[in-house]
Amino acid sequence: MTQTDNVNRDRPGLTGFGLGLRPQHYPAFLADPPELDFLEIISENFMVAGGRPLTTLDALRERYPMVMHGVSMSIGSADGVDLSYLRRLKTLADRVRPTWVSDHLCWTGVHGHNTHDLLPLPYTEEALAVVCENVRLAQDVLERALVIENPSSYLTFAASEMSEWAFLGEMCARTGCALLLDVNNIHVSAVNHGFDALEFLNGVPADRVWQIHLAGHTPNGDLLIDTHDQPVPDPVWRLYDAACRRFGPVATMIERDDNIPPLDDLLAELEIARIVAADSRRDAAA
Amino acid sequence: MSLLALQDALQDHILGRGGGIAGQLEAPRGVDAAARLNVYHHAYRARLGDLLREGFDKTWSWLGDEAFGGVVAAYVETCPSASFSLDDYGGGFPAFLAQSLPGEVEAGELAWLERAMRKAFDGPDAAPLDPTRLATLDEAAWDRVRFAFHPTLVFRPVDAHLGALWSGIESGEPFTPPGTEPGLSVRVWRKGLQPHFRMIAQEEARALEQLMQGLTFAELCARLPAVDDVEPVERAGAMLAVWLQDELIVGLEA
Repeated sequence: MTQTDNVNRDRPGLTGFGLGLRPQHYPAFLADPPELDFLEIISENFMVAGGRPLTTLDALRERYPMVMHGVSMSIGSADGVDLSYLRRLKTLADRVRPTWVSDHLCWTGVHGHNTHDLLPLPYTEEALAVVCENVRLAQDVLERALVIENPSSYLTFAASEMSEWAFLGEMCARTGCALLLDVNNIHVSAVNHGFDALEFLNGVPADRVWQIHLAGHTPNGDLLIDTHDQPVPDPVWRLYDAACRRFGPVATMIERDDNIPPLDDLLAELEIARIVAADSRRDAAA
Repeated sequence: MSLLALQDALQDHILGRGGGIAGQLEAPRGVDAAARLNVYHHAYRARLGDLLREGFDKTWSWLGDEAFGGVVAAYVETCPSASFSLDDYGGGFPAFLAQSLPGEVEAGELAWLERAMRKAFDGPDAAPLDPTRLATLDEAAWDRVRFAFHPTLVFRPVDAHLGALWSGIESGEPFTPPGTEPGLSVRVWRKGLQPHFRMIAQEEARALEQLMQGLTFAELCARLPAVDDVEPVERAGAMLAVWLQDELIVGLEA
Protein backbone atom coordinates (compact mmCIF):
# COMPACT_ATOMS: atom_id res chain seq x y z
CA MET A 1 0.00 0.00 0.00
CA THR A 2 1.35 3.43 -0.95
CA GLN A 3 0.68 6.76 0.59
CA THR A 4 1.25 10.28 -0.67
CA ASP A 5 4.16 11.69 1.33
CA ASN A 6 3.73 15.41 0.72
CA VAL A 7 0.17 15.69 2.06
CA ASN A 8 -0.47 16.87 5.58
CA ARG A 9 -2.86 14.22 6.90
CA ASP A 10 -3.63 16.05 10.15
CA ARG A 11 -7.21 17.18 10.58
CA PRO A 12 -7.46 21.00 10.79
CA GLY A 13 -9.00 22.36 13.97
CA LEU A 14 -12.30 23.36 12.37
CA THR A 15 -15.37 21.83 14.04
CA GLY A 16 -18.76 23.30 14.97
CA PHE A 17 -21.76 24.14 12.83
CA GLY A 18 -22.05 25.93 9.49
CA LEU A 19 -24.15 26.45 6.40
CA GLY A 20 -23.69 26.32 2.66
CA LEU A 21 -23.67 29.83 1.17
CA ARG A 22 -26.33 30.24 -1.50
CA PRO A 23 -26.98 33.33 -3.71
CA GLN A 24 -30.52 33.69 -2.31
CA HIS A 25 -28.97 34.42 1.10
CA TYR A 26 -26.26 36.90 0.02
CA PRO A 27 -28.29 39.95 1.16
CA ALA A 28 -29.17 38.39 4.53
CA PHE A 29 -25.56 37.38 5.20
CA LEU A 30 -24.25 40.83 4.30
CA ALA A 31 -26.93 42.72 6.25
CA ASP A 32 -26.85 40.70 9.46
CA PRO A 33 -24.24 37.91 9.49
CA PRO A 34 -25.51 35.05 11.68
CA GLU A 35 -23.34 33.30 14.26
CA LEU A 36 -21.80 30.33 12.46
CA ASP A 37 -18.57 28.43 12.91
CA PHE A 38 -17.94 28.24 9.15
CA LEU A 39 -19.41 28.77 5.70
CA GLU A 40 -19.14 26.32 2.84
CA ILE A 41 -19.06 27.73 -0.69
CA ILE A 42 -19.73 25.89 -3.95
CA SER A 43 -16.39 26.35 -5.66
CA GLU A 44 -17.76 26.56 -9.20
CA ASN A 45 -20.07 29.47 -8.27
CA PHE A 46 -16.97 31.56 -7.61
CA MET A 47 -14.70 30.38 -10.43
CA VAL A 48 -15.73 33.50 -12.34
CA ALA A 49 -13.99 36.69 -13.41
CA GLY A 50 -15.62 39.19 -11.05
CA GLY A 51 -18.86 40.93 -10.13
CA ARG A 52 -21.21 40.31 -7.23
CA PRO A 53 -20.22 36.68 -6.48
CA LEU A 54 -16.56 37.50 -5.77
CA THR A 55 -17.37 40.80 -4.04
CA THR A 56 -19.74 38.96 -1.71
CA LEU A 57 -17.22 36.18 -1.19
CA ASP A 58 -14.48 38.62 -0.20
CA ALA A 59 -16.78 40.40 2.26
CA LEU A 60 -17.91 37.17 3.93
CA ARG A 61 -14.40 35.74 3.94
CA GLU A 62 -13.50 38.46 6.42
CA ARG A 63 -16.28 37.25 8.71
CA TYR A 64 -16.24 33.43 8.52
CA PRO A 65 -13.81 30.52 8.22
CA MET A 66 -14.61 28.89 4.87
CA VAL A 67 -14.43 25.50 3.26
CA MET A 68 -14.71 24.98 -0.50
CA HIS A 69 -16.98 22.31 -1.95
CA GLY A 70 -16.82 21.40 -5.63
CA VAL A 71 -19.02 19.39 -7.98
CA SER A 72 -16.91 19.22 -11.14
CA MET A 73 -13.56 17.64 -10.29
CA SER A 74 -14.71 14.26 -11.64
CA ILE A 75 -12.20 12.45 -9.48
CA GLY A 76 -13.40 9.07 -10.77
CA SER A 77 -13.04 9.71 -14.50
CA ALA A 78 -11.05 6.94 -16.14
CA ASP A 79 -9.62 9.45 -18.61
CA GLY A 80 -8.23 11.63 -15.84
CA VAL A 81 -9.02 14.92 -14.18
CA ASP A 82 -9.00 18.22 -16.06
CA LEU A 83 -5.78 20.03 -15.19
CA SER A 84 -7.10 23.42 -16.28
CA TYR A 85 -10.02 22.96 -13.89
CA LEU A 86 -7.63 22.09 -11.05
CA ARG A 87 -5.51 25.18 -11.75
CA ARG A 88 -8.56 27.45 -11.69
CA LEU A 89 -9.66 25.78 -8.46
CA LYS A 90 -6.21 26.45 -7.02
CA THR A 91 -6.50 30.13 -7.99
CA LEU A 92 -9.79 30.33 -6.08
CA ALA A 93 -8.32 28.47 -3.11
CA ASP A 94 -5.43 30.96 -2.99
CA ARG A 95 -8.01 33.76 -2.77
CA VAL A 96 -10.33 32.09 -0.23
CA ARG A 97 -7.68 30.33 1.89
CA PRO A 98 -10.24 27.66 2.90
CA THR A 99 -9.72 25.30 5.79
CA TRP A 100 -10.15 22.50 3.24
CA VAL A 101 -11.33 21.74 -0.29
CA SER A 102 -13.80 18.96 -1.01
CA ASP A 103 -15.46 17.21 -3.94
CA HIS A 104 -17.29 13.93 -4.52
CA LEU A 105 -16.40 10.30 -5.07
CA CYS A 106 -17.90 10.26 -8.55
CA TRP A 107 -17.31 11.08 -12.17
CA THR A 108 -19.21 13.70 -14.16
CA GLY A 109 -18.24 12.73 -17.70
CA VAL A 110 -15.56 11.34 -20.00
CA HIS A 111 -14.11 12.36 -23.37
CA GLY A 112 -14.68 16.05 -22.69
CA HIS A 113 -18.38 15.79 -21.85
CA ASN A 114 -19.92 16.91 -18.58
CA THR A 115 -23.29 15.51 -17.49
CA HIS A 116 -23.28 17.83 -14.46
CA ASP A 117 -24.30 14.85 -12.35
CA LEU A 118 -22.42 12.96 -9.66
CA LEU A 119 -22.25 9.61 -11.44
CA PRO A 120 -21.44 6.48 -9.44
CA LEU A 121 -18.38 4.27 -9.72
CA PRO A 122 -18.11 0.51 -9.56
CA TYR A 123 -16.18 -0.34 -6.39
CA THR A 124 -13.38 -2.26 -8.07
CA GLU A 125 -9.60 -2.34 -7.73
CA GLU A 126 -9.36 -0.69 -11.17
CA ALA A 127 -11.63 2.19 -10.11
CA LEU A 128 -9.75 2.53 -6.83
CA ALA A 129 -6.45 2.86 -8.71
CA VAL A 130 -7.96 5.51 -11.03
CA VAL A 131 -9.44 7.48 -8.13
CA CYS A 132 -6.22 7.36 -6.11
CA GLU A 133 -4.14 8.54 -9.07
CA ASN A 134 -6.56 11.41 -9.67
CA VAL A 135 -6.67 12.33 -5.96
CA ARG A 136 -2.87 12.43 -5.82
CA LEU A 137 -2.74 14.72 -8.86
CA ALA A 138 -5.40 17.02 -7.41
CA GLN A 139 -3.61 17.14 -4.06
CA ASP A 140 -0.34 17.98 -5.79
CA VAL A 141 -1.93 20.86 -7.75
CA LEU A 142 -3.94 22.14 -4.78
CA GLU A 143 -1.03 21.61 -2.36
CA ARG A 144 -3.36 20.24 0.32
CA ALA A 145 -5.23 17.10 1.32
CA LEU A 146 -8.52 16.67 -0.53
CA VAL A 147 -11.74 15.91 1.30
CA ILE A 148 -13.98 13.49 -0.57
CA GLU A 149 -17.75 13.14 -0.12
CA ASN A 150 -19.83 10.00 -0.55
CA PRO A 151 -22.49 10.58 -3.25
CA SER A 152 -26.04 9.26 -3.33
CA SER A 153 -26.42 6.55 -5.95
CA TYR A 154 -29.06 4.49 -7.67
CA LEU A 155 -26.95 2.01 -9.66
CA THR A 156 -25.35 -1.19 -8.37
CA PHE A 157 -22.61 -2.42 -10.67
CA ALA A 158 -22.20 -6.17 -11.08
CA ALA A 159 -18.43 -5.65 -11.25
CA SER A 160 -18.13 -4.17 -7.73
CA GLU A 161 -15.66 -6.08 -5.58
CA MET A 162 -15.98 -4.18 -2.29
CA SER A 163 -18.39 -2.02 -0.33
CA GLU A 164 -18.49 1.75 -0.76
CA TRP A 165 -17.13 2.24 2.77
CA ALA A 166 -14.25 -0.18 2.16
CA PHE A 167 -13.47 1.76 -1.05
CA LEU A 168 -13.49 5.08 0.80
CA GLY A 169 -11.27 3.74 3.57
CA GLU A 170 -8.73 2.33 1.12
CA MET A 171 -8.75 5.61 -0.84
CA CYS A 172 -7.94 7.53 2.36
CA ALA A 173 -5.20 5.10 3.31
CA ARG A 174 -3.53 5.22 -0.10
CA THR A 175 -3.72 8.97 -0.73
CA GLY A 176 -3.95 10.71 2.66
CA CYS A 177 -7.23 12.33 1.67
CA ALA A 178 -10.06 12.84 4.17
CA LEU A 179 -13.83 12.31 4.11
CA LEU A 180 -16.89 14.48 4.03
CA LEU A 181 -19.76 12.22 5.07
CA ASP A 182 -23.13 13.25 3.71
CA VAL A 183 -25.39 11.47 6.16
CA ASN A 184 -28.41 11.92 3.89
CA ASN A 185 -26.49 10.33 1.03
CA ILE A 186 -25.59 7.36 3.20
CA HIS A 187 -29.28 6.89 4.05
CA VAL A 188 -30.41 7.32 0.42
CA SER A 189 -27.83 4.86 -0.90
CA ALA A 190 -28.52 2.40 1.94
CA VAL A 191 -32.21 2.32 1.04
CA ASN A 192 -31.58 2.19 -2.72
CA HIS A 193 -28.98 -0.58 -2.51
CA GLY A 194 -30.28 -2.43 0.52
CA PHE A 195 -27.26 -2.09 2.82
CA ASP A 196 -27.11 -1.17 6.51
CA ALA A 197 -26.32 2.52 6.96
CA LEU A 198 -24.74 1.82 10.36
CA GLU A 199 -22.38 -0.67 8.73
CA PHE A 200 -21.30 2.19 6.42
CA LEU A 201 -20.71 4.53 9.39
CA ASN A 202 -18.76 1.87 11.28
CA GLY A 203 -16.77 0.93 8.20
CA VAL A 204 -15.16 4.27 7.36
CA PRO A 205 -11.96 5.37 9.13
CA ALA A 206 -13.12 7.65 11.96
CA ASP A 207 -9.91 9.69 12.03
CA ARG A 208 -10.39 10.72 8.38
CA VAL A 209 -13.90 12.19 8.81
CA TRP A 210 -13.46 15.98 8.70
CA GLN A 211 -16.94 17.19 7.76
CA ILE A 212 -20.59 16.11 7.79
CA HIS A 213 -23.44 17.23 5.49
CA LEU A 214 -27.08 17.01 6.54
CA ALA A 215 -29.82 17.20 3.92
CA GLY A 216 -33.16 15.84 2.76
CA HIS A 217 -34.42 13.69 -0.08
CA THR A 218 -37.59 12.75 -1.97
CA PRO A 219 -39.17 9.28 -2.29
CA ASN A 220 -39.86 8.20 -5.88
CA GLY A 221 -41.48 4.77 -6.09
CA ASP A 222 -39.14 2.24 -4.54
CA LEU A 223 -36.14 4.56 -4.69
CA LEU A 224 -35.10 7.57 -2.65
CA ILE A 225 -33.95 10.48 -4.81
CA ASP A 226 -31.26 12.73 -3.42
CA THR A 227 -32.84 16.11 -4.05
CA HIS A 228 -31.27 18.14 -1.23
CA ASP A 229 -34.44 20.26 -1.39
CA GLN A 230 -36.21 19.19 1.79
CA PRO A 231 -35.66 19.58 5.53
CA VAL A 232 -33.53 16.90 7.19
CA PRO A 233 -35.90 13.96 7.84
CA ASP A 234 -36.01 11.79 10.98
CA PRO A 235 -34.03 8.82 9.59
CA VAL A 236 -31.19 11.19 8.69
CA TRP A 237 -31.27 12.81 12.15
CA ARG A 238 -31.07 9.32 13.72
CA LEU A 239 -28.11 8.46 11.52
CA TYR A 240 -26.47 11.78 12.42
CA ASP A 241 -26.87 10.89 16.09
CA ALA A 242 -25.02 7.62 15.40
CA ALA A 243 -22.34 9.52 13.48
CA CYS A 244 -21.81 11.92 16.39
CA ARG A 245 -21.36 8.98 18.76
CA ARG A 246 -18.82 7.32 16.46
CA PHE A 247 -16.85 10.34 15.22
CA GLY A 248 -17.15 12.91 18.04
CA PRO A 249 -17.12 16.62 17.16
CA VAL A 250 -16.99 17.06 13.38
CA ALA A 251 -17.72 20.22 11.37
CA THR A 252 -21.39 19.83 10.47
CA MET A 253 -23.67 21.78 8.15
CA ILE A 254 -27.08 21.78 6.53
CA GLU A 255 -26.70 21.50 2.76
CA ARG A 256 -29.73 22.77 0.83
CA ASP A 257 -29.34 22.91 -2.96
CA ASP A 258 -32.88 23.61 -4.17
CA ASN A 259 -36.21 24.89 -2.85
CA ILE A 260 -34.06 27.23 -0.76
CA PRO A 261 -35.94 28.43 2.37
CA PRO A 262 -35.32 31.69 4.25
CA LEU A 263 -32.01 31.78 6.07
CA ASP A 264 -33.76 31.74 9.45
CA ASP A 265 -35.31 28.35 8.60
CA LEU A 266 -31.89 26.86 7.93
CA LEU A 267 -30.49 28.40 11.12
CA ALA A 268 -33.35 26.79 13.05
CA GLU A 269 -32.59 23.43 11.42
CA LEU A 270 -28.93 23.85 12.29
CA GLU A 271 -29.96 24.35 15.91
CA ILE A 272 -31.44 20.84 15.84
CA ALA A 273 -28.05 19.53 14.70
CA ARG A 274 -26.41 21.30 17.65
CA ILE A 275 -28.89 19.65 20.02
CA VAL A 276 -28.42 16.17 18.51
CA ALA A 277 -24.64 16.51 18.73
CA ALA A 278 -24.78 17.81 22.32
CA ASP A 279 -27.11 14.99 23.39
CA SER A 280 -24.82 12.39 21.86
CA ARG A 281 -21.82 13.87 23.72
CA ARG A 282 -23.77 13.95 26.97
CA ASP A 283 -24.84 10.32 26.55
CA ALA A 284 -21.26 9.33 25.74
CA ALA A 285 -19.99 11.07 28.89
CA ALA A 286 -22.65 9.49 31.14
CA MET B 1 -15.53 -4.23 -19.29
CA SER B 2 -12.90 -1.61 -18.45
CA LEU B 3 -13.80 1.37 -16.28
CA LEU B 4 -13.52 3.70 -19.26
CA ALA B 5 -15.78 1.50 -21.39
CA LEU B 6 -18.31 1.33 -18.57
CA GLN B 7 -18.26 5.10 -18.14
CA ASP B 8 -18.63 5.54 -21.89
CA ALA B 9 -21.65 3.24 -21.88
CA LEU B 10 -23.36 5.00 -18.98
CA GLN B 11 -22.64 8.43 -20.46
CA ASP B 12 -24.04 7.32 -23.81
CA HIS B 13 -27.20 6.13 -22.06
CA ILE B 14 -27.62 9.46 -20.27
CA LEU B 15 -27.02 11.42 -23.48
CA GLY B 16 -29.61 9.28 -25.27
CA ARG B 17 -27.12 7.46 -27.49
CA GLY B 18 -27.81 3.86 -26.43
CA GLY B 19 -24.81 2.41 -24.64
CA GLY B 20 -25.56 -1.13 -23.45
CA ILE B 21 -24.98 -0.27 -19.80
CA ALA B 22 -27.96 -2.21 -18.42
CA GLY B 23 -26.11 -5.53 -18.64
CA GLN B 24 -23.48 -4.22 -16.20
CA LEU B 25 -26.02 -3.55 -13.46
CA GLU B 26 -27.71 -5.47 -10.67
CA ALA B 27 -31.19 -4.84 -9.35
CA PRO B 28 -31.18 -4.99 -5.54
CA ARG B 29 -34.48 -4.66 -3.69
CA GLY B 30 -36.37 -5.61 -6.84
CA VAL B 31 -35.92 -2.21 -8.53
CA ASP B 32 -34.81 -3.04 -12.06
CA ALA B 33 -31.88 -1.51 -13.88
CA ALA B 34 -34.09 0.45 -16.29
CA ALA B 35 -35.82 2.30 -13.44
CA ARG B 36 -32.46 3.07 -11.84
CA LEU B 37 -30.93 4.29 -15.10
CA ASN B 38 -33.98 6.44 -15.70
CA VAL B 39 -33.11 8.50 -12.61
CA TYR B 40 -29.90 9.69 -14.31
CA HIS B 41 -31.47 9.99 -17.78
CA HIS B 42 -34.25 12.16 -16.40
CA ALA B 43 -32.03 14.20 -14.05
CA TYR B 44 -29.74 15.20 -16.93
CA ARG B 45 -32.61 16.66 -18.95
CA ALA B 46 -34.29 18.22 -15.93
CA ARG B 47 -31.08 19.89 -14.74
CA LEU B 48 -30.14 21.39 -18.12
CA GLY B 49 -33.75 22.30 -18.92
CA ASP B 50 -34.16 24.08 -15.57
CA LEU B 51 -30.91 25.97 -16.20
CA LEU B 52 -32.17 27.21 -19.58
CA ARG B 53 -35.64 28.10 -18.26
CA GLU B 54 -34.04 30.08 -15.43
CA GLY B 55 -31.39 31.73 -17.60
CA PHE B 56 -33.80 32.67 -20.41
CA ASP B 57 -37.00 33.26 -18.47
CA LYS B 58 -38.03 36.32 -20.52
CA THR B 59 -37.50 34.47 -23.80
CA TRP B 60 -39.54 31.61 -22.34
CA SER B 61 -42.28 34.02 -21.33
CA TRP B 62 -42.30 35.62 -24.79
CA LEU B 63 -42.37 32.35 -26.74
CA GLY B 64 -44.64 30.34 -24.43
CA ASP B 65 -44.16 26.84 -23.02
CA GLU B 66 -44.58 24.88 -26.23
CA ALA B 67 -42.26 26.75 -28.57
CA PHE B 68 -39.62 27.43 -25.92
CA GLY B 69 -39.83 23.90 -24.51
CA GLY B 70 -39.33 22.45 -27.99
CA VAL B 71 -36.12 24.42 -28.53
CA VAL B 72 -34.87 23.54 -25.03
CA ALA B 73 -35.49 19.83 -25.60
CA ALA B 74 -33.74 19.93 -28.98
CA TYR B 75 -30.77 21.86 -27.54
CA VAL B 76 -30.34 19.45 -24.64
CA GLU B 77 -30.48 16.42 -26.94
CA THR B 78 -28.06 17.77 -29.54
CA CYS B 79 -25.66 19.93 -27.53
CA PRO B 80 -23.95 18.10 -24.65
CA SER B 81 -22.08 20.23 -22.13
CA ALA B 82 -18.33 20.42 -22.51
CA SER B 83 -17.56 22.78 -19.63
CA PHE B 84 -17.02 22.22 -15.92
CA SER B 85 -19.31 25.19 -15.36
CA LEU B 86 -23.03 24.55 -15.64
CA ASP B 87 -23.48 28.26 -16.32
CA ASP B 88 -21.46 27.96 -19.54
CA TYR B 89 -24.06 25.58 -20.94
CA GLY B 90 -26.40 28.42 -21.93
CA GLY B 91 -23.71 30.11 -24.04
CA GLY B 92 -24.73 28.48 -27.30
CA PHE B 93 -28.47 28.65 -26.69
CA PRO B 94 -29.27 32.07 -28.23
CA ALA B 95 -27.67 31.14 -31.56
CA PHE B 96 -29.36 27.72 -31.47
CA LEU B 97 -32.73 29.33 -30.79
CA ALA B 98 -32.28 31.94 -33.55
CA GLN B 99 -31.38 29.17 -35.99
CA SER B 100 -34.26 26.94 -34.85
CA LEU B 101 -36.90 29.68 -35.03
CA PRO B 102 -35.71 32.07 -37.77
CA GLY B 103 -39.09 33.83 -37.89
CA GLU B 104 -39.00 34.70 -34.18
CA VAL B 105 -36.74 37.75 -34.40
CA GLU B 106 -37.70 39.10 -30.97
CA ALA B 107 -37.07 35.76 -29.27
CA GLY B 108 -33.61 35.34 -30.78
CA GLU B 109 -32.54 38.85 -29.81
CA LEU B 110 -34.13 38.60 -26.36
CA ALA B 111 -32.21 35.37 -25.72
CA TRP B 112 -28.97 37.07 -26.79
CA LEU B 113 -29.72 39.95 -24.40
CA GLU B 114 -30.51 37.65 -21.46
CA ARG B 115 -27.26 35.77 -22.01
CA ALA B 116 -25.25 38.99 -22.33
CA MET B 117 -26.75 40.28 -19.06
CA ARG B 118 -25.84 36.98 -17.36
CA LYS B 119 -22.26 37.19 -18.63
CA ALA B 120 -21.96 40.81 -17.50
CA PHE B 121 -23.13 39.79 -14.02
CA ASP B 122 -19.93 37.91 -13.17
CA GLY B 123 -17.63 39.28 -15.87
CA PRO B 124 -14.30 40.99 -15.07
CA ASP B 125 -14.15 43.98 -12.70
CA ALA B 126 -12.83 47.41 -13.70
CA ALA B 127 -13.03 50.70 -11.83
CA PRO B 128 -14.76 53.52 -13.76
CA LEU B 129 -12.74 56.49 -14.93
CA ASP B 130 -13.00 59.51 -12.65
CA PRO B 131 -14.55 62.13 -15.00
CA THR B 132 -12.46 64.89 -13.39
CA ARG B 133 -9.42 63.37 -15.10
CA LEU B 134 -10.77 64.66 -18.41
CA ALA B 135 -10.67 68.22 -17.07
CA THR B 136 -6.91 67.89 -16.65
CA LEU B 137 -6.32 67.13 -20.35
CA ASP B 138 -4.86 69.95 -22.42
CA GLU B 139 -5.64 70.44 -26.11
CA ALA B 140 -2.70 68.34 -27.25
CA ALA B 141 -3.78 65.50 -24.99
CA TRP B 142 -7.33 65.65 -26.37
CA ASP B 143 -5.86 65.18 -29.85
CA ARG B 144 -4.41 61.79 -28.89
CA VAL B 145 -6.66 60.48 -26.12
CA ARG B 146 -7.89 56.91 -26.39
CA PHE B 147 -10.43 55.33 -24.05
CA ALA B 148 -10.58 51.87 -22.50
CA PHE B 149 -14.06 50.47 -21.98
CA HIS B 150 -15.49 48.19 -19.30
CA PRO B 151 -14.51 44.58 -20.07
CA THR B 152 -18.14 43.43 -19.87
CA LEU B 153 -19.25 45.81 -22.66
CA VAL B 154 -20.86 44.11 -25.66
CA PHE B 155 -23.18 45.55 -28.29
CA ARG B 156 -24.90 44.43 -31.47
CA PRO B 157 -27.45 45.57 -34.04
CA VAL B 158 -31.00 44.40 -33.38
CA ASP B 159 -34.40 44.75 -34.99
CA ALA B 160 -36.52 44.33 -31.85
CA HIS B 161 -37.37 47.15 -29.47
CA LEU B 162 -35.75 45.18 -26.67
CA GLY B 163 -36.21 47.87 -24.00
CA ALA B 164 -39.99 47.92 -24.41
CA LEU B 165 -40.09 44.15 -24.80
CA TRP B 166 -38.04 43.58 -21.63
CA SER B 167 -40.14 46.01 -19.57
CA GLY B 168 -43.38 44.57 -20.88
CA ILE B 169 -42.41 41.01 -19.98
CA GLU B 170 -40.99 42.07 -16.62
CA SER B 171 -44.24 43.83 -15.72
CA GLY B 172 -46.09 40.53 -15.83
CA GLU B 173 -49.07 42.39 -17.31
CA PRO B 174 -50.45 42.06 -20.87
CA PHE B 175 -48.72 44.54 -23.17
CA THR B 176 -48.76 45.52 -26.82
CA PRO B 177 -45.76 43.96 -28.58
CA PRO B 178 -43.48 46.81 -29.66
CA GLY B 179 -42.69 45.18 -33.01
CA THR B 180 -39.45 45.35 -34.94
CA GLU B 181 -37.61 48.08 -36.79
CA PRO B 182 -34.30 47.86 -38.64
CA GLY B 183 -31.44 50.06 -37.55
CA LEU B 184 -31.46 49.63 -33.77
CA SER B 185 -28.57 48.56 -31.57
CA VAL B 186 -28.26 47.47 -27.95
CA ARG B 187 -25.33 47.58 -25.61
CA VAL B 188 -24.86 45.57 -22.40
CA TRP B 189 -22.40 46.26 -19.60
CA ARG B 190 -22.08 46.16 -15.82
CA LYS B 191 -22.19 49.34 -13.72
CA GLY B 192 -20.91 48.57 -10.24
CA LEU B 193 -22.35 45.14 -9.47
CA GLN B 194 -25.46 45.51 -11.63
CA PRO B 195 -25.72 44.48 -15.31
CA HIS B 196 -27.47 47.02 -17.53
CA PHE B 197 -28.54 47.39 -21.12
CA ARG B 198 -29.40 50.43 -23.18
CA MET B 199 -30.86 50.78 -26.67
CA ILE B 200 -28.48 52.93 -28.71
CA ALA B 201 -28.33 54.48 -32.16
CA GLN B 202 -26.25 52.73 -34.78
CA GLU B 203 -23.96 55.76 -34.81
CA GLU B 204 -23.05 55.12 -31.19
CA ALA B 205 -22.48 51.42 -31.89
CA ARG B 206 -20.15 52.32 -34.78
CA ALA B 207 -18.34 54.86 -32.58
CA LEU B 208 -17.83 52.30 -29.81
CA GLU B 209 -16.56 49.74 -32.29
CA GLN B 210 -14.03 52.18 -33.74
CA LEU B 211 -12.85 53.44 -30.35
CA MET B 212 -12.42 49.87 -29.09
CA GLN B 213 -10.31 49.17 -32.18
CA GLY B 214 -7.94 51.97 -31.16
CA LEU B 215 -9.31 55.10 -32.78
CA THR B 216 -8.55 58.27 -30.83
CA PHE B 217 -11.46 60.40 -29.68
CA ALA B 218 -10.24 63.22 -31.96
CA GLU B 219 -10.20 60.85 -34.95
CA LEU B 220 -13.75 59.81 -34.11
CA CYS B 221 -14.86 63.44 -34.05
CA ALA B 222 -13.26 63.97 -37.46
CA ARG B 223 -15.09 60.98 -38.94
CA LEU B 224 -18.57 61.79 -37.66
CA PRO B 225 -20.72 63.61 -40.23
CA ALA B 226 -22.69 66.71 -39.31
CA VAL B 227 -26.34 65.83 -38.74
CA ASP B 228 -29.20 68.32 -38.46
CA ASP B 229 -26.73 71.16 -37.92
CA VAL B 230 -25.31 69.46 -34.82
CA GLU B 231 -21.53 69.55 -35.06
CA PRO B 232 -19.68 66.19 -34.83
CA VAL B 233 -17.73 67.34 -31.78
CA GLU B 234 -20.95 68.20 -30.02
CA ARG B 235 -22.48 64.79 -30.79
CA ALA B 236 -19.33 62.95 -29.80
CA GLY B 237 -19.28 64.96 -26.59
CA ALA B 238 -22.86 63.97 -25.86
CA MET B 239 -21.99 60.28 -26.35
CA LEU B 240 -18.95 60.66 -24.09
CA ALA B 241 -21.10 62.22 -21.37
CA VAL B 242 -23.46 59.23 -21.44
CA TRP B 243 -20.56 56.77 -21.40
CA LEU B 244 -19.10 58.49 -18.34
CA GLN B 245 -22.48 58.50 -16.61
CA ASP B 246 -22.90 54.80 -17.42
CA GLU B 247 -19.39 54.10 -16.04
CA LEU B 248 -18.54 52.57 -19.38
CA ILE B 249 -15.07 54.12 -19.58
CA VAL B 250 -12.49 52.58 -17.29
CA GLY B 251 -9.25 54.13 -18.53
CA LEU B 252 -7.63 56.62 -20.84
CA GLU B 253 -4.37 56.92 -22.66
CA ALA B 254 -3.25 60.40 -23.64
